[in-house]
Amino acid sequence: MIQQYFKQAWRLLKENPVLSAISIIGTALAICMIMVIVMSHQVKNAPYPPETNRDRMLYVKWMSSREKNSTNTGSSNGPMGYGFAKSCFKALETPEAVSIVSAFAPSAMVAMPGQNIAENYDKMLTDEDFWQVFDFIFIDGKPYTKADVDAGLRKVVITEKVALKTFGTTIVSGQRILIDYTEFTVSGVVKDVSALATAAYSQIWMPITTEILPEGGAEGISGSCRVFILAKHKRDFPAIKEEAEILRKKYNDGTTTYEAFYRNQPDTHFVFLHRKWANQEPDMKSIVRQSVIVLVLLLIVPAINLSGMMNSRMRKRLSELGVRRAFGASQKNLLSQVMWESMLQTLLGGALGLIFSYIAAYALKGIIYENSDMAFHLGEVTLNPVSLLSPAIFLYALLFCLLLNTLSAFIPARNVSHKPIVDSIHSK
Amino acid sequence: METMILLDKVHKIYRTEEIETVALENVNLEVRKGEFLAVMGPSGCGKSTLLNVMGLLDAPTSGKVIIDGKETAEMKDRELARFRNENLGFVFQSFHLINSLNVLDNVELPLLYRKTGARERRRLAEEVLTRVGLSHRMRHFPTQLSGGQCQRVAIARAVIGNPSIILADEPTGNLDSKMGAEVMDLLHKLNCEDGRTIVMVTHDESKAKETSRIIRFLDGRQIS
Amino acid sequence: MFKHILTIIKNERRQNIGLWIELLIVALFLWYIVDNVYVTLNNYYKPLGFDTEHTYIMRLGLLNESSYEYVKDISTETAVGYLYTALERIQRNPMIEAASISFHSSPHIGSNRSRNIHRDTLSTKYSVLNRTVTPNFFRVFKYQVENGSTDELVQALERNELVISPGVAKELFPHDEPPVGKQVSFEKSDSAQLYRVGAVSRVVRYDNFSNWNSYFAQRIDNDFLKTFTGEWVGGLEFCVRVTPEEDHDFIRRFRENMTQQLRLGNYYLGEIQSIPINKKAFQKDDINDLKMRMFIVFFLLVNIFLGITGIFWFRTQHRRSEIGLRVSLGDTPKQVLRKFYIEGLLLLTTAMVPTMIVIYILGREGIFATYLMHFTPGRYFIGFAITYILLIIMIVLGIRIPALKAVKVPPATALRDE
Repeated sequence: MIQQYFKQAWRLLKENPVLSAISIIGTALAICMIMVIVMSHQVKNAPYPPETNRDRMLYVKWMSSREKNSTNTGSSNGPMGYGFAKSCFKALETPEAVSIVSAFAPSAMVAMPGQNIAENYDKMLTDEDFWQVFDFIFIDGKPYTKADVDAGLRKVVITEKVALKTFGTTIVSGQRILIDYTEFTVSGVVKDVSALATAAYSQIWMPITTEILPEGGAEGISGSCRVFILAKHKRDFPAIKEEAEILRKKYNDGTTTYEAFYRNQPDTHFVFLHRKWANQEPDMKSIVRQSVIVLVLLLIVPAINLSGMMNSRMRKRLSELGVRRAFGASQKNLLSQVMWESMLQTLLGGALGLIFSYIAAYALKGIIYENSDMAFHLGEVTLNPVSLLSPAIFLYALLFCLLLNTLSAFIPARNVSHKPIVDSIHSK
Repeated sequence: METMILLDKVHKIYRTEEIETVALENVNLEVRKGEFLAVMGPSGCGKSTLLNVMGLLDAPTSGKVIIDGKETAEMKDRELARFRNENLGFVFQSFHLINSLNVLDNVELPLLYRKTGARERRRLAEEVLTRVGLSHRMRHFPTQLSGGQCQRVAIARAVIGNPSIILADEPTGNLDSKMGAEVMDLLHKLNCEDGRTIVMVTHDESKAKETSRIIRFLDGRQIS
Repeated sequence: MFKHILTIIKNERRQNIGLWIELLIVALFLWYIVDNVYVTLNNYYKPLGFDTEHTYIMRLGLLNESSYEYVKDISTETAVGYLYTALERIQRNPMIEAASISFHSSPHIGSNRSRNIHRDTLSTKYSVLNRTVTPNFFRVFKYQVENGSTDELVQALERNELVISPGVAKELFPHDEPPVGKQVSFEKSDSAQLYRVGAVSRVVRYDNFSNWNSYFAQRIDNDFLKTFTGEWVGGLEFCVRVTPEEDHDFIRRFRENMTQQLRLGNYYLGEIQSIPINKKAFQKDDINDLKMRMFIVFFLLVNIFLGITGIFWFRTQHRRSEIGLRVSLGDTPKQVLRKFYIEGLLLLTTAMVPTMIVIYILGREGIFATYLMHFTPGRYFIGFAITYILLIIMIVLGIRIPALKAVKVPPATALRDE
């Protein structure tokens, strides 16, 4: 029977190629659109190395300070001081690991000892826990250790690309390298990091103690650091925030003029991405509301289209449904036929939608994957866009269209089964 | 002889917001097994309504419809569907074939709702199509056939499920005389050879005269 | 005939209501997006007031104490001297047309400083951008006064006077008072230090996506530079304009040429970036936003097209016999086609009316951003004109295909269908 239904459905599609094409393209477009939206969300939020643990990470991007007990409402905002980060975040006991990094170290000139002309690469200063918070793939060597950081040893981790460009090979751990005219030892070589890894991205990493960090004052609160926290589990987030709050109060008790406040940080990954400015909290409610409006709009328009078309199509076939009833089709028979038909149509639309999604993933690469932050980096977005076409999401999109198509076909079909058969047979 | 269809005090009234139309008024009718009954009357006299009520395509406003000894008023959707499927075959004036199915698939339709195996369905469809003389057109689509051929396909569809009753609503109305004669021949064969009960609505006196009994309708009432 | 079409619309109302609602929703959002794109593009194409073609930004690095080349005990005066020497050496390179030092003033970096300016009792309403630069900064980015001259600006800074923008001039010098030669201050007190206004430049915008154009420029002095001789030296922007002939593979060639010459004290030549490339990076988010919006417009239009084609396909097929009849009764196919168009356009127009009312109310409530353009009747109607035209195109295209097909069927065939 199902085979029969499919056969007829196929024949129906062929009978009116333009109309079928429209329905199918409509379905495909809706699916493609959903995929594009999800992809652009995925690329920023889905975990992949080295940011494998995005779901259990917390971020403190900026720090704010203001005068204690003062009528002056002004605040000073920017990265935090190293000492402050150590006493207020590094001291946390609930998380698995806490890493302090430089907020924006200038890029570095890198050369082989004895070489005159240096190449310019992105640089990041970190502590040893950075290698625990993030999941780098080491091709050679290993990261620098706590002892290295404490002693301020000039060790460096470089990416494959830096190693190849500088030495012509990637097996270079233990070799000497010149960074900003200072000699370092290569501690390890990691796989290139995509500029999409907003937090972990760089091309060379070195102990945070090897440079004098510009400190901004406000009794050590402001400076040039940022903090990444890896929780043992997502559910520890509130506990970590609580503990951080205790440490903050303790720090503020020790200052005379200034006090630190967090503007609702530490952030989850999603909030972190939207925290652009140091002096204001992102309005997550409005961001979410806007995204939802766009999403709803992009779904509702094809939805009206699809259901309108499916509906007209069914109404044209009322007479056929009547005849089927006359020859013994029950209500259930009719509804299941309608379901199989819309299934076929949706599947075809889904297949085409998948192709569209592939095309869109490439064509819209710039929009989906790049932003101003990344564009300033010297590295590249080394992520294959297609890798984000998640089968699960595709299935959801397909299901959504199936639901739409089926519902729009169901309603007229249901009406037929409630009307006297004669009326349906002779309806036009 | 056994009674096949029994209408007992059947009324059918159509109501719209403004008017009330009496399509059938107190119809008492008995159709016996193996009979070929012609229902005649001018258009709008209620003869098609009568056929629809007999075929369970439309419910009467009041009165009883008893077919093959079964009271039909209390049947649920699924029972009705099954009953129609097994006992009734329909032939319509404008054929009502499904354009998106080929001749074979159209004819197989009633068996589809009976869970007959695909091979068996095919065999039966081929057999009955051969009987109506269309074995060479089995893979065609309805739009590729002439009116007479379409009606013969429709007849094949009506008999494939082996129903004891065939209800034909102006089966020759859209056909020229030669094709009309062919269709009448077929109906006669079904009546005489298979012993099926046939009720045919027509306004063509000559076609009606070929049947075993004629009843006439005027304004919803049987007048003879 | 008009009445006839209205009757048809009424008779097909069940289908039409769906289409009508779709048109209404789409028109609403389309206006919103079209308006957004229009306002953004309108602003984008206004003159920027500066030119970044063939310009680069470079920064100096400071050697780590542990570097083998580190020189101990360099006095701040010597260090400031090195900074000037660096600028001079850069300027002398034949590839360079002009070079300057600035702080938080180079375009498309994202860093800026701002403060209020006062004159007697008048003050600027908002704080204005503060460009702290050496005089040649104007030559690097081709700032101009109203008559097109850059020299006047350079000379003003050389005289240690301020350069202000027309916006600032208008606020502090109302009634067309000429600002040049007048005194302004940065603090609102009688004892505040006064600065002479030396020139007024043309409008200089912050970037393509904003309209922030109130600024003043002030010469970098020795005291200022002194605070940058330490680890903050990377904050100083060395901006250069390269002669057009030499602007190829510039970063590599310049580095090769100048790395040795710019090793001064503990300074070395750090990163060099092309400003046009920085501009692309800096504006990437906005450009992406714009592209995404256009993509959504495109998506909506395609959907409308599909929807219209779909519905009119059914309708024309449904009415094939009617069309056949009309043609056989003497209507030309063109006239029949026109009836369908009018039907579609009537639907669209009636759907636009509530849309216009809703937008008007929302606009009056201040829902739409007026940061780049006020919610003027012009903006309102231009948005609608574009929306209307886009939708008309889709409707005409959507109707044309099925209607033409229906009209082309010979009347006899169409009639036999009945």
